[in-house]
Amino acid sequence: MPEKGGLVDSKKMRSKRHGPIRVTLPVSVASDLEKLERALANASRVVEERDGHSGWHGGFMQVREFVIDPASLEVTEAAYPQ
Amino acid sequence: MRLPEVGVGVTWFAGMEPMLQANAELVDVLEIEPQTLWRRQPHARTIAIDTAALEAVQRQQHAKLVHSVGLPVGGTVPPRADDVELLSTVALELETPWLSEHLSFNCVEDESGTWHTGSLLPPRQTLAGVEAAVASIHALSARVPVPVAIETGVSYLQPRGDELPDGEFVGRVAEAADCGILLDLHNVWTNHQNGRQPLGDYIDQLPLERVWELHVAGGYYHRGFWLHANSGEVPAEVLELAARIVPRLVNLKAIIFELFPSHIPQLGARMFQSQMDSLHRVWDRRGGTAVRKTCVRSDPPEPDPAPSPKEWERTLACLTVHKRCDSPLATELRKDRGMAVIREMVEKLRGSMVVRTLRLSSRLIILERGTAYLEQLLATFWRTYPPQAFALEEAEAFAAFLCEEKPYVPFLGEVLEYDRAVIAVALDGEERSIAFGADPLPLLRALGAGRRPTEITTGEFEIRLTPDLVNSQAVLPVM
Repeated sequence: MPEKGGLVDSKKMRSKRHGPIRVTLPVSVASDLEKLERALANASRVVEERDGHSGWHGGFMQVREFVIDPASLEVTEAAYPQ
Repeated sequence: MRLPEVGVGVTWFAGMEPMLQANAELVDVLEIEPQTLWRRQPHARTIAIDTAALEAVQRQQHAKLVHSVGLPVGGTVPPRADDVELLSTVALELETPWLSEHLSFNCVEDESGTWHTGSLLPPRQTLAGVEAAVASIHALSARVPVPVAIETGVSYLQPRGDELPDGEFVGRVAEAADCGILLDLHNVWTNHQNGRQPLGDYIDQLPLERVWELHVAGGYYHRGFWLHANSGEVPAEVLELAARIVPRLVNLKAIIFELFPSHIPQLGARMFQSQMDSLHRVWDRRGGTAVRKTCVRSDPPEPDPAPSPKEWERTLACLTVHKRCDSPLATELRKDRGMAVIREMVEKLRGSMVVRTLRLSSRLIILERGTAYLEQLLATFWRTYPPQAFALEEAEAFAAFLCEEKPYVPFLGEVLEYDRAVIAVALDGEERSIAFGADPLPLLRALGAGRRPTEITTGEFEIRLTPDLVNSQAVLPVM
């Protein structure tokens, strides 16, 4: 019998650092694992850069939205998240 | 019946355009499996034709032949009217001169309803079986706009003393239904290799003037059986058989090399060209004169021996999908070594549907718990959930199973939701959002690259999946 348990393992997680973040991902990128990997690497870099510059603390911020471009896979932060 | 000669060709798959351009002189015709153009609508019980996928086929300049793989006509359950309508539409859109289907069965009707067997299974080869198949072929041919040919099937079961020989069964069905024959030489050779009817006897029992089309393909040995697998190089003996028989096929109109796309890299471009060259040489041997001959026939017992075709189909299907069945026939069939091969092939197909559809979830399970654990989960799933005809349904069933089973796999719930959402957005073009309690960027990135996710930060995250131009076949494998 397979071992049963919760679907999420708290031991694998680091402590909470981020506030609400939304990433908009075109499905053409999501369905192509190579593109997905590149796009998410770009997104991680941009999120980290923004965090570093703003000294951001999630509790006081609104949702931040990062948008992935399906052609270039470049990531921009939306000025006014929807 | 006068049908056009369409020549030598290959099975179509999405994305093969560069291969066709590189081999423009070698490919005259594309064989299209219409079910690869069908999509089960998410959250609906209806199937629709993927217009973009259909148009991609229509753009090819080659002749097209429609070869159905989901509405077999060898059993007692005739093809569903809705499915036949879709098949008709594809036949008209692609202007196929004829269409073909398998002389097998894949559905069973019993007190629990109609259910899918997970694969094409061999029919009961008696006179009652002939009658059932003829009724199914008539039900199909009455509702499609072109003539129908039946494909000769493969069977891993040992031949039975109470049945008609393979070739005679096909011959009797084709003559009684007045239809064409798609002679799959690799299937016939596979049956011969595995101890069923000798090739020469099989051919002698066929009405060769009804053969409109030949299939050739590759396979491999597994557990002492030669498998029909469309897996690459055609065995030399099958090509030799084709060269010998083609001059006798006075109504031959096409030869198709069946090949699954996943085996193309292994086959290689040069070998593909060499195989197609060989098939053109075989094709050039056609044009023999008709020799009228009487097909060899046995003297089948009257009345028809038990089990009936219905009982045969139900028993074989139950054993294939692990449903309980305690009849004497079930006891007999369990002793047949071919039964394990049939079951294994169905399970391999089901497993590939899950792994290719729930891609990141499958990877996550393997990376966190190992391949053996995923196989263990799948084995439990196969015993509790019946097979589904479509990859999307099979994947949905496995996702439901995982939600019930709650295996210990970190982040599985969210990754599963993500996988399902990607498919749904690709299919219906509606935006979806998935909430994550852990940072999806390193999580999905690691899975996309085949790495085990580590040190994932918690927080409130959301992935918003938006529709854009995507080939739905890229996210959803066919049946």
